[in-house]
Amino acid sequence: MDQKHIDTIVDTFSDVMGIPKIELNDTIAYNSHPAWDSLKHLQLISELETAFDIEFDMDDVIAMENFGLVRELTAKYL
Amino acid sequence: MGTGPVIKIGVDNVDISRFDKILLSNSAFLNRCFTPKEQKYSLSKIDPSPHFAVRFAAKEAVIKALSGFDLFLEHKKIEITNDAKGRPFINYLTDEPSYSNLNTDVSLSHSETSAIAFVVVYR
Repeated sequence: MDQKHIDTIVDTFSDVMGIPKIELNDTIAYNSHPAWDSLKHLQLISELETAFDIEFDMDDVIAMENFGLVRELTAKYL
Repeated sequence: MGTGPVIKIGVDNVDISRFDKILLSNSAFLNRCFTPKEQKYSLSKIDPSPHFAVRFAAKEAVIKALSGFDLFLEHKKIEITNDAKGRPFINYLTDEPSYSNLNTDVSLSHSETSAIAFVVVYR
């Protein structure tokens, strides 16, 4: 995955969650960080799908439990 | 001695303000979460936000109740519609046999700011 793709993921995640980019790390987790609930999760998925013109499998949507996994699983489609 | 039905429940509430114009203009989000019938119904309202919000809450409540049966359906396969008397009911948009013997009751409510759904699933 090239840097441009990584930057898009970081920008999208930061925008959707309202978390400054400087505070992002791989351990920020779904249903653990107060900003990341089920509605935000689905917003994130749809924004990433639009940004990259991809469609995630539901298994991957469920598996994206932290920011590191969001990056890793999105990379499968790029 | 016979056994009664197995009953699982789910509840969820959503701030209606989260379903703002920006979110509702995101077709990828709407298509991932809501069926065409739900979108048509909610978008026909002067203010679609509470209608989307309460349906989202219902889907979350259904997902919670289904987890008690070790089942999972994504949001767009859980459809909330109304019967002839206007009562909401749940359609499972799947051919999986595990869902054919489930009975599901749902109750929806919303205030000016918040939408809530309560679901009972039993078999």
